[in-house]
Amino acid sequence: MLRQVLREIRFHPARFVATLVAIAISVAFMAGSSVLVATEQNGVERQQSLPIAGADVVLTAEYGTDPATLRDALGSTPGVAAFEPSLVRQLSLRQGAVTSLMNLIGVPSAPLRWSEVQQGRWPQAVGEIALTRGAAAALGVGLGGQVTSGLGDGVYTVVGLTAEPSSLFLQTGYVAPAEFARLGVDPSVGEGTWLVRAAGEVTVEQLTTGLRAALAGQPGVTVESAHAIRAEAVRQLAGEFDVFRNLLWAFAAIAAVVGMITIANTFTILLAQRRRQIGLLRAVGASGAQVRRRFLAEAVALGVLGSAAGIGVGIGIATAGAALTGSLYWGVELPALDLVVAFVTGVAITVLAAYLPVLRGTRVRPLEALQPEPASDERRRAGAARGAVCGVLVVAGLALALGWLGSEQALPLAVAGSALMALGVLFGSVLFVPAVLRGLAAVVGWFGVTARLAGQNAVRNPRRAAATATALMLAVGLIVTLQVGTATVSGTVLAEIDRTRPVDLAVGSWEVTAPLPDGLADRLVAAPGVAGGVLLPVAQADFTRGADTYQGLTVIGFVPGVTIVASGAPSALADDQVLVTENSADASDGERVTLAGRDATVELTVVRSTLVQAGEVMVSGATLERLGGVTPGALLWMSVPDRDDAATAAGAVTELVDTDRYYVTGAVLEAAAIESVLGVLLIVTTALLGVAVLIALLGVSNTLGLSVLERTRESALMRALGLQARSLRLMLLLEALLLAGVGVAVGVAAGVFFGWLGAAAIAAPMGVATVTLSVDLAQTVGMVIVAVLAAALASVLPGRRAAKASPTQALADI
Amino acid sequence: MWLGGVEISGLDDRRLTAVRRDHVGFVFQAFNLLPTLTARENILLPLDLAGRRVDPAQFDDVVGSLRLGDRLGHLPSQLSGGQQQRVAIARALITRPQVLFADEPTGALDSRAGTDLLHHLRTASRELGQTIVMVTHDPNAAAFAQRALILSDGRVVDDLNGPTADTVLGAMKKLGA
Repeated sequence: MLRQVLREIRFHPARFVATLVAIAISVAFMAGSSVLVATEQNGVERQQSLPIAGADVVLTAEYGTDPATLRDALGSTPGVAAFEPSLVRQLSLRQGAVTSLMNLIGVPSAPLRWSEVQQGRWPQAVGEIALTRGAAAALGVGLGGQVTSGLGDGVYTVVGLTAEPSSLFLQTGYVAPAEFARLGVDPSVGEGTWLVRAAGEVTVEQLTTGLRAALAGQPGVTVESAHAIRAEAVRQLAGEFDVFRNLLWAFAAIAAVVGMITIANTFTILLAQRRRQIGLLRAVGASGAQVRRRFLAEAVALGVLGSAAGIGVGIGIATAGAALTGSLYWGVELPALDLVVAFVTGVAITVLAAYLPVLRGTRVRPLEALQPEPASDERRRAGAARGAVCGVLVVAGLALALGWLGSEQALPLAVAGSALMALGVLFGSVLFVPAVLRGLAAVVGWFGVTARLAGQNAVRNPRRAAATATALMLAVGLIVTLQVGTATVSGTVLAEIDRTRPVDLAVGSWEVTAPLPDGLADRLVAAPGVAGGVLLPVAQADFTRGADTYQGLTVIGFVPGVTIVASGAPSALADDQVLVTENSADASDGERVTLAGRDATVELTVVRSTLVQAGEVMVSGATLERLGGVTPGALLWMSVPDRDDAATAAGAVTELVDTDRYYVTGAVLEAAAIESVLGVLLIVTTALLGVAVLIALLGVSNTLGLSVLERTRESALMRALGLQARSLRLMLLLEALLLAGVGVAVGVAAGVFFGWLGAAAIAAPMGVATVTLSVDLAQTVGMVIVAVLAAALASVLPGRRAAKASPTQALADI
Repeated sequence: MWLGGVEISGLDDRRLTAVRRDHVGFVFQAFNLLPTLTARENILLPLDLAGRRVDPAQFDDVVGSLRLGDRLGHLPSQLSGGQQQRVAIARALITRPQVLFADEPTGALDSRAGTDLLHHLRTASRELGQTIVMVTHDPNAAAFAQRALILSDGRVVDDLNGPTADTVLGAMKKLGA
């Protein structure tokens, strides 16, 4: 039987290509993410244990350990060749627009060193740094170049390049030990990790035992071999990387589900086409079970072939990825168990997806199968039971999701409700997709006979059309859900930020009353994206409300110009009024409070406003003068009217300000941070779900391709009746667009709703009252266009094949 | 090769297609109707493809002579074999082709429906003045023609004017000898 099955696949490869590719993509996704994560994990492990790579024994000392005692103990223990504290700190470094997370290591003394400088020298003074080649390349610096620490508080000159590689998550850099004093770590303090090198004559075990004995009187000190420490680090890291891998597998699972729909559809069509073959087998005496086994064996063979290809492709892609990040240096890690799971999953989903179609397709009476024309199209009415179940699912899901919106459990309930609704829509697609298709077909029918024929062809096999559209619906729906959810959350949060923080950007001194440097305000207002600014006078005062006193509050003097930077600001402030932040519940409107300044104490009436933040109050200019100790121009408020310029403006302003002495705050900074995080998240998830869309589009091409095979005679007949070849191709193109159109349209509609629902469920418990549905048109429309174009592309091959049918084929016997 | 004043030997696919559409009609053994179209739509398909308007009088003529008037709204699966084949003939006649090729048109029909269909073909030929070229193995079917050419292994071996079932059968018997 196996030989027959393989021959079937060899003789009709075209029939199986799409299925094989769908399986291979799903399996490659799983295998690739496992291999890549394992390889990266290995790289990070090796890299994280770099600081102890030169040590044989490692001491860990708790806070408060006396360094002198440690040094004495280490110095007097026999077998210690060298020892010193290990200096490591993680810091982000910046060069231009690129920021990279660094494991910053104090250069160890020669016996404990593990790395070589390939170019230049080791850093010796504060402000010097040696980078691995990978880190230098990632930051785009060379020997002699400069990098800044992410917080802007240090500038380093690159003096050396080392050989060891980097990984996706972590880079390595070396600084002089003295640098750590500047970073706030005193190298002479005993706490932290100490590296010990064994002398030639003792083993690591002997040294460990010896040191334990010598340090027995120090309760906060533990002694371990470097090997044991590394093993422990690996154990801890594994947990973190598992989370990452599981996340990727969740996306792979979605791709696999879409793949299953495609596979099931392929088998339905294949079996419909092979009715005669089945009938023939039955007529020569094969039992139904034998026929089924034969087709299931085909599914197994396909699953094995596809999965094997997927594993190979996955490993290849992961290796390429690891080469890009630099982790490949440490070698490719092949997690055997994960790969076996991926392979078995690939075979299992193929057989599972093929099972129902095989069961249905082989239930043919021998004579029925041998009749020249299939007795009927699959024009069977899908059961009323299905409609009822799907209806209940949708209604129950809707009730579940909307009923508790605003409660604490809104998010889990919304997710559960959405899942029910999605199930209802997906399983009910057989019921509504043909109807929608018929509607669309009627519309395009106006454009002429080719369009009309395309429309009628698209609804000819309602089940097939529904399954094809469903796969696309699922994939597109998920992407749009994420897109709309992200856009809505970010829109809502940004609106909330705008509401509570009318000032876009503010620059002031950490010392509150220190003036801004000469000319800085002018340069800041001229920065790109900044439309205007206003300088405000500042003083400090104690704020007393009832029995509570808040000391050293920042008191800002009102100037009429604030309306330039904050549209909602009042145009005047009475001398007996004080603006208190609206975001705190501490004071209520009309309450009397006192402000005690350097020269005077005044009693004022509270007006709550969003103009000031926590720790700030605002009074009129005259009142501020009375309080005394005023620094004019200590605070600059700026307006960034166009949100698209937010990131540019924030960057330009931060660049101009010495952040050691002055702070930059404002709505724009918060907005930019949120937007960039959500943006990255969305790009990554879209890319991952894009695989599912790809498989679904493969399904469109597959359905069309197989229908074309089935309709060869019909195509030939049309050609005989005078249909031009290009009209035939156009017909297939329209069929593809109709199928994809329905899938994409339903997916987008459902995605918009689910996205809004998710955002609302997240926002409601946080006390955000209004969730504004926002759709990022560029993203969503872009995805729709890509999907439709891809569907058009998917029709090219089937169209060419259909057009190849020669008119004489219509004359040939069946 | 010439057809209706057009040399078709050197034509490209596009123009050849147009020739098939406008000047030739085909009737096949297996009815070859499009399953998604109703009888009326099937009949009008060649005109639709050409983008020509239907002449209602001619449509009524063709449909009337084939007695399809009450079946026009049905899908092929709702028609009997004979009715399907009549729809196929109507489709071939509607364009007023220079010539109608019929390949074993009765092959898939029982004898009564077959005879019925041949009567229809002959009526169409006489009433509409239509040239019909029919290929058949059935001497009775051949007897409906005005002229019968007997082919054997691709060569014309006999030419009968006003053939009857007996003369055709006689000519065929000679082949075996």
